[in-house]
Amino acid sequence: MVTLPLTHMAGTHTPPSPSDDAALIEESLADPDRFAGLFDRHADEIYRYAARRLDDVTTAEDVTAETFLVAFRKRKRYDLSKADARPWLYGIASNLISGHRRSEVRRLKALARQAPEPPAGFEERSAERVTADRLRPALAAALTGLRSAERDLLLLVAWTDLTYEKAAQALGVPVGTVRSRLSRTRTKIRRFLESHV
Amino acid sequence: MNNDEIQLVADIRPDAPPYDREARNAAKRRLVAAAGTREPRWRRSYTLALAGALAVAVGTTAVVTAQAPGGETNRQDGGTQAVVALPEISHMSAHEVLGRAAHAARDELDPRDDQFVKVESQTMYGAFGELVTNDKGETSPETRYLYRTKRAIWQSANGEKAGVLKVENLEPRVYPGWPIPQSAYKRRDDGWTRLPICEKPPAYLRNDYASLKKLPTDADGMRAHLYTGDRGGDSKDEAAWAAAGDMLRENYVPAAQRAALFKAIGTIPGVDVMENAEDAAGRKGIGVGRVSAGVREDLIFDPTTYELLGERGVVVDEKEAKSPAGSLVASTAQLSVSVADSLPEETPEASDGVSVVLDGKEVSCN
Repeated sequence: MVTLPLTHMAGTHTPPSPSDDAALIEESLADPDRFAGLFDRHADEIYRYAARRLDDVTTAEDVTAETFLVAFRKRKRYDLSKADARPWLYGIASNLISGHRRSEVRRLKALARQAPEPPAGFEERSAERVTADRLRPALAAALTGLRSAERDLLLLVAWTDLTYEKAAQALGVPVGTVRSRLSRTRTKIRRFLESHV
Repeated sequence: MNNDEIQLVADIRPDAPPYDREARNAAKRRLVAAAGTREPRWRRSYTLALAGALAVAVGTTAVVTAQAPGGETNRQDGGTQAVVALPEISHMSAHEVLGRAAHAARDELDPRDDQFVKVESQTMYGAFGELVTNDKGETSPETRYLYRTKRAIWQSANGEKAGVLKVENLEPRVYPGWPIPQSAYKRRDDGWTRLPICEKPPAYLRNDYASLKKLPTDADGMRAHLYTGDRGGDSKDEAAWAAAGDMLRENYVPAAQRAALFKAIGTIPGVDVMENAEDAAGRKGIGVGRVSAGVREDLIFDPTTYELLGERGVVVDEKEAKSPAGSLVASTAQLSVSVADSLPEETPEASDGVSVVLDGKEVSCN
């Protein structure tokens, strides 16, 4: 097959992109095909999130594909006042990831075993980073021991660039809940590290 | 422990392996297929379905449709409502009228396998936006309007080469009883869309000239064809009706099969005929139709050659259709049918290809 990007399909005519995700989702209500635009925008980011949290690439790929299918089916209920659809997609992906508990655990075990960064970059690395490397096995174990809702929130905040407000949107909880849940989670991790390092 | 635990966790974030391109394409194809397999509100031709599925990246609207008048004689301002007299259904049985069957006198087209069938048409169909409720319980209203286009389509005579569709949007019209939404003026499917050929479509779904020419030339045989396979729809009868429309719309059916098809349609339960049905160009023909969701949908045939002139939809049940009785909610006219040696040079290049779901199977197209 000739490989040209899909966008060339219409030849001379390229539609303007809606200014935000909400506009695109709104258009997809009348014209479902428009929803593919959301995939173009965010599939890579959602995949990275899934791939960081799951042990095997195939499962991460499945979760990514499924995230957009679920989102497509639920698009009528999307809050169109939210211009950025990423929290919504991260929320769906997090739910799906929770259904792959064994793959998650394997991932965290692998993370615990992962060798520290190569010495070449050592000089540039911050003291915190060195500490994190040293603590990596214990941190990974601490993550494994968290409740699913705690781990989802912590990893959304720590491994993606979502703000507390957006993480709250992703998980469908008030931002106050996010703060208190994060605070409890930090305490749990601190205690785990204190007793295991 | 003076390090922030969140920062510690952030610091051990693993690298993500690259997103495999093939997996990414497959994920998008699944999404596109899901978007393309929704149930139509109004019949949706195979061609349209395909064009819609393909047009993902371009925003070709594959919204459902019903056609309304576009002929100069019927031209009205966007803000006015198109209302016609309620159809007078013929007292003759469908079989009786349809039994007059075609022995076409006009010059028949006979495209070679390497040629293309070109059809120019004008369409008016309903576009339906769904009621939306967000998480806060706020709703944005259901919308309807009639969108109008001038179209030209080129399709391979033996179905083995890609085709092309050119669309020019015209001023939208009111769907009687519904204000025109702003979105009606922002349609983005103007221009040229390549119509890829899908690998090995099921034989009974093929509507290229060469395939049509092999179909039965008697009404019983043609009727059996219309009821072949899983064609979707709420019932076999509805599916047979839709299949007949798909064979005729923006297409050229050989004379012998056309006559057989015309008679076969008359045997579909719920179908009857009306004389003097008018198409979007103001031409009168025999309307063969059925009522669906409060709208009588007619295929309008030339009374002597039994070629398709156009289609029309008229509200007959105000409550069910949510529009006043007599409202014209669909009207089209096939303005010319001819044979072309090649595709126009504006035809876009082939691309990566897409997948669509045909007969329950995902097939790739290019």
